Amino acid sequence: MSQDIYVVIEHLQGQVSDISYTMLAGARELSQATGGKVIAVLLGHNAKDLAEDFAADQILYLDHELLAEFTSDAYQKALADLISKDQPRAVLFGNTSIGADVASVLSMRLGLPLVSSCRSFTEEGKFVSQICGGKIMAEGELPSPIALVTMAPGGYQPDQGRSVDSPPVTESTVPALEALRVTLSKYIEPESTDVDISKEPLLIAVGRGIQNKDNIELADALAQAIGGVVCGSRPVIDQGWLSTSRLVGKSGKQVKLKIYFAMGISGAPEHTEAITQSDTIIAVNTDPKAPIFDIAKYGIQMDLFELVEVLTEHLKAKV
Amino acid sequence: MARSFAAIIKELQADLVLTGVQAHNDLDGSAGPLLAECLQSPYVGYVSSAAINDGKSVIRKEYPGGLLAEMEVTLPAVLGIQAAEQPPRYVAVSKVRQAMKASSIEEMDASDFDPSGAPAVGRMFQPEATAHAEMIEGSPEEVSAKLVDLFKELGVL
Ligand SMILES: Cc1cc2nc3c(=O)[nH]c(=O)nc-3n(C[C@H](O)[C@H](O)[C@H](O)COP(=O)(O)OP(=O)(O)OC[C@H]3O[C@@H](n4cnc5c(N)ncnc54)[C@H](O)[C@@H]3O)c2cc1C
Repeated sequence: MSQDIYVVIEHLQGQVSDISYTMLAGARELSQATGGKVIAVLLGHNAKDLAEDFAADQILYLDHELLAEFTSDAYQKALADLISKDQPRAVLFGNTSIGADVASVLSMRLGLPLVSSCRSFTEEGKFVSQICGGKIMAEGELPSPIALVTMAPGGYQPDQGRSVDSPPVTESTVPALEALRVTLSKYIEPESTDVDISKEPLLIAVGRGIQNKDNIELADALAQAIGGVVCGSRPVIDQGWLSTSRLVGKSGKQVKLKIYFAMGISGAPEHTEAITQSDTIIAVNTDPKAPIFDIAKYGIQMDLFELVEVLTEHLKAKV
Repeated sequence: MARSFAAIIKELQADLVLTGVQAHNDLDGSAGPLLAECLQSPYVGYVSSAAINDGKSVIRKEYPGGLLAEMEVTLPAVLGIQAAEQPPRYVAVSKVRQAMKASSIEEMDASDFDPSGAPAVGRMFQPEATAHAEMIEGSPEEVSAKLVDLFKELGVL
């Protein structure tokens, strides 16, 4: 049993994801309360080079052919073995497509408590999790003996978890990975399309508030008048009103732009985590309490259908 | 909940169990993977398409940026569903009525709840917004005029 905080590094196609660095930053804060070390845990195959900028005290590397690409079964086996052997104080996973496949399973397999959607830790080492789509925070003592934690972005900046002098890498043993029940066949790359919204300086974003496919035209007209491109939140894409390449958010694209003009978007964490790096967010929403107003620089509490055409005309008149 | 479901599903000997990837209320996402482990079945979440082929499930799993992974999962398995390949459709009320008449709902006893493993929450609170948007007020005309000025100021017009 140690007081160390383990961070399971996430990487895909040779790229370490931002959440890994966010977790390293969170682990640093937590380790100050527990008095242990921050230990990055990297699983992969011939992937040691990925461990070059981790702000950790130590890096454990688990190398195996069957860990080359993420599959839930192999990660669970390798990590169950490591956690049982090392008994750290806490293990952090991303609240992501990777971490969420592993953390809960391990909690049941090893009989360990699980904290989900943690955004930050307090100075005393309590967890603060976001629930109800980020509208409510839940705080509690970090459960014992070993807490498994999934972390959502927002509490720490990824840059806080990067370091130019990464510690040396220690190889750790990998258990036999036999009879795996999940195998990766292939990756399917997103279709390359007309526009890459992550490279656009100005986006007109529409959410469920746009109501139906025909109304997308209104957003298109506005985008044309100002020289931007239309993108959307998940419900808009799931309904087939816009193509997948236009999705902004956790499962879509991250954007970092000059102006993000959001209409009829509530501001769920899965959406906003991808837009907070933008210079200016302007939000139009009928609900004065919509969370999007907490991250937007400018807000307009109004029915988007009352505004959009008038605004388009104004813009056309000025340009 | 996962333990209670597991007791029933074991009895039913299901080959494939589908759960949502996230609860709609607190956005927690543990029912599927916990259930899978109780059943000793494999789990894959964030799934947006699934087919059965030769005793295996061929699934597509979502990663950020629109990347998908095609995976094979041996059955029995539990999948956490993120979205359907087709958008959900409305079902005509007449069809719903038909189904209500034709099918019956069988009640089963759930075993006693065992909530161990869940962390205790000491306090819940509304996040303090570090900032709030500056609200632009007025009629649609007035707001539009102000927005045009703002866009000019920001250098996009
Ligand atoms: C694993 C996972 C990944 C996800 N990934 C993403 C992702 O990548 N991107 C993403 O966006 N979501 C993602 N989501 C979904 C996310 O949780 C939210 O459900 C989604 O962002 C909500 O979209 P919305 O704001 O458009 O809809 P809603 O939350 O329904 O909000 C609609 C808003 O429109 C307002 N409105 C309604 N009518 C009008 C009107 N006439 N004028 C002005 N305002 C109006 C309402 O007040 C409301 O605030 C993901 C969820 C999961 C579980």
